[in-house]
Amino acid sequence: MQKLRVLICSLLISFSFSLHATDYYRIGVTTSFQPFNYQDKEGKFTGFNIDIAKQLCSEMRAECEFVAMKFPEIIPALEKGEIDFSPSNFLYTAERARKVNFSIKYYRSTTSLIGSVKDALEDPENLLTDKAKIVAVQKDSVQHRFLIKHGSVNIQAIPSIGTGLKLLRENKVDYLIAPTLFTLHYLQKPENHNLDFIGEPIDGKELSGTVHIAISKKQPELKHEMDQAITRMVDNGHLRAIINQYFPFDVY
Amino acid sequence: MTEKYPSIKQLLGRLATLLAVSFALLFTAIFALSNHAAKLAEKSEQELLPSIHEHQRAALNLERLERMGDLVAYGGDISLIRKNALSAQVLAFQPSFDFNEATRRSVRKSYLLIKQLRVSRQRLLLMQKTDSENPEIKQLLDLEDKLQMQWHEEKQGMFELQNQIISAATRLQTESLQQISLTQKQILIVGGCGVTALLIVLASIGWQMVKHLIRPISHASHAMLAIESGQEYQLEKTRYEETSLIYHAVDRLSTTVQTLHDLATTDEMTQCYNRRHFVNLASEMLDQAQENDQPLSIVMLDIDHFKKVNDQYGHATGDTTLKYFALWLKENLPDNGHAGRLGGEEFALLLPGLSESEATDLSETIRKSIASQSQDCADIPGITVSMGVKGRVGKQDAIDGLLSKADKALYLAKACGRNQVISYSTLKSDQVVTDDYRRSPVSSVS
Repeated sequence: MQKLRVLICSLLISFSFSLHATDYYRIGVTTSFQPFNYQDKEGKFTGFNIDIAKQLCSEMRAECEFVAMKFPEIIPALEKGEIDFSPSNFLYTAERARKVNFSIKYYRSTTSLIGSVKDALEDPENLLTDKAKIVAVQKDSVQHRFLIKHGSVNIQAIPSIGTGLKLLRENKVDYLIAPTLFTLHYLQKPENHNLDFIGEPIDGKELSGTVHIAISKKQPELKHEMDQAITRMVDNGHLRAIINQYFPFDVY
Repeated sequence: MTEKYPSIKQLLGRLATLLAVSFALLFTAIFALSNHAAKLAEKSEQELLPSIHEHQRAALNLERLERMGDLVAYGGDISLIRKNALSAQVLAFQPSFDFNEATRRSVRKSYLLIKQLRVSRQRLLLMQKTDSENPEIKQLLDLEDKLQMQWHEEKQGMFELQNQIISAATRLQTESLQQISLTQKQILIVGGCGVTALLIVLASIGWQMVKHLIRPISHASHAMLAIESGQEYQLEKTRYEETSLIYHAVDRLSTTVQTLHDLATTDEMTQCYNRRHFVNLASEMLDQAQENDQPLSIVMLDIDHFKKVNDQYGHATGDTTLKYFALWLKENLPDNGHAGRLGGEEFALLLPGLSESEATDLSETIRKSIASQSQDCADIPGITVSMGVKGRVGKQDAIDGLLSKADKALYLAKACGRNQVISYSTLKSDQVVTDDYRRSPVSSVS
């Protein structure tokens, strides 16, 4: 059965290969946040999402090109078809689903508030009602929407999480609200010992859950192809191998 | 053939329908089941397998949480403790533990202990560095001991939980496998039953064919063989139009063959056997009698002065006379006796089972009966008959010899005045006329 499936798969793959030339995709990525997505000194794209994208392209036998962009630019670019897909830690929201297609999940995450270690035992939802506090949040992220809807703090919309962490260290903002997994690495650095998670991850349905790759609706077949590629990566262990490079446990 | 019979074509149509329906049912059942099996396999691939993997990942993550907790509980370096406590916090709140409420709560409970350990141990480590004489240290050390003890117990619980998760995964896997193998068994059972039913249907079709087609045809063939050899045959009723037609044809053929046989063997006017058939029959019976050493006699008869009847009353009366004569002759014959018209007014009797003297007695009866019945009959003139009798003696007697000897006796009966019966064995040797003598036609002395 398994053998047959492999045979059929490989036949289909070779068939689709012979039908049309190798697919070519433009991938939108943010580059401002080491070590998850950034460009090194030679301009080479590196990081967790980059590795995921590269492996996806290899699974789909497609040629890919990375396009560096800011987070708020990604969904409009997908809508216009300027890029074909983007692995940029998108949590599912109905509003986004109207604009782009979502792949099946490639990992799962929560949202946390980060601030000074002295507030570590506080309840983050209490702190978010303090009008005197300034909270940094990535522009157009689900966390941004959440703050606008539920918080009464001063919101400082920033282009990337990297910027937020820098502002936090320089005491220019009181807190940063961001995906937990991506701030863990930063917090774990010994030089950031005066920063910490504030309480536990914020309980909000829209702030945690499955993370997806956003796909341009101008490429309607790509979602299915992408889902299959992700499933293959789960099955053949490539996804776990990439996850192990960046996280201390399995985040899938 | 006036009855309305169903046709075999209809029977075949019905049987073909039955066969087609059985095939269709069998294939539908097998198709439905294999479809079901395929769906199960798909479900197992799309739902069960991911769920099993989810359990396996949760178990592995739980093990990592345990390791992080160990480093927080026993690690000697403050930044190591912090690093692992942060990881533990993130891990404990990962949605991947949410598949089951008990797991979720248990993991968070473990994390709270890790957090307590982190806080107290960080404080202790900081104090030891700055002020080793602080009186709080003993209290913190006691707390550390207590928390480490709790952590040790917590780890037992986590180990238990890990086992539960793995068992759940195994259970899922087993259930899925059992379901698949159950379906396979169902396919086998249904397939087996279906094939058996199909065989039964085929067997019943075969039986119907034998009963309604092959057997009637074979009966008809045997009947035709029987007709050909002149034997009796019996055809029972058949149910179908085509075979009934065959039976009908056989009956018609039999009648025709009988008619042809009668025409070939019987004298039309007198309904006696013609000469050829009589001689053949006599020859056969003589053979039989010789084989079984049983008596057999031949009687030759001639109506006296028959020419006068024709001349005096016309040929029509002559014919009527012959008919009556034959009728009376047959009335007096025993069941196994036969009468033949050898030509003109010359007749012969074949009497198996009768010796020459018994045959002579019978002939005498016949002679008297004819004389008296013809006297009483208004249609014809009175007639008399002369008869010569010869019985079988030796084994070597040939039919020609018997006929000729009976004929000699007849000749003598004529010569001695007609209207009498003469038995060949009563003749004296000088009375036996020679063949040359016999050759002169009987009619010359009649």
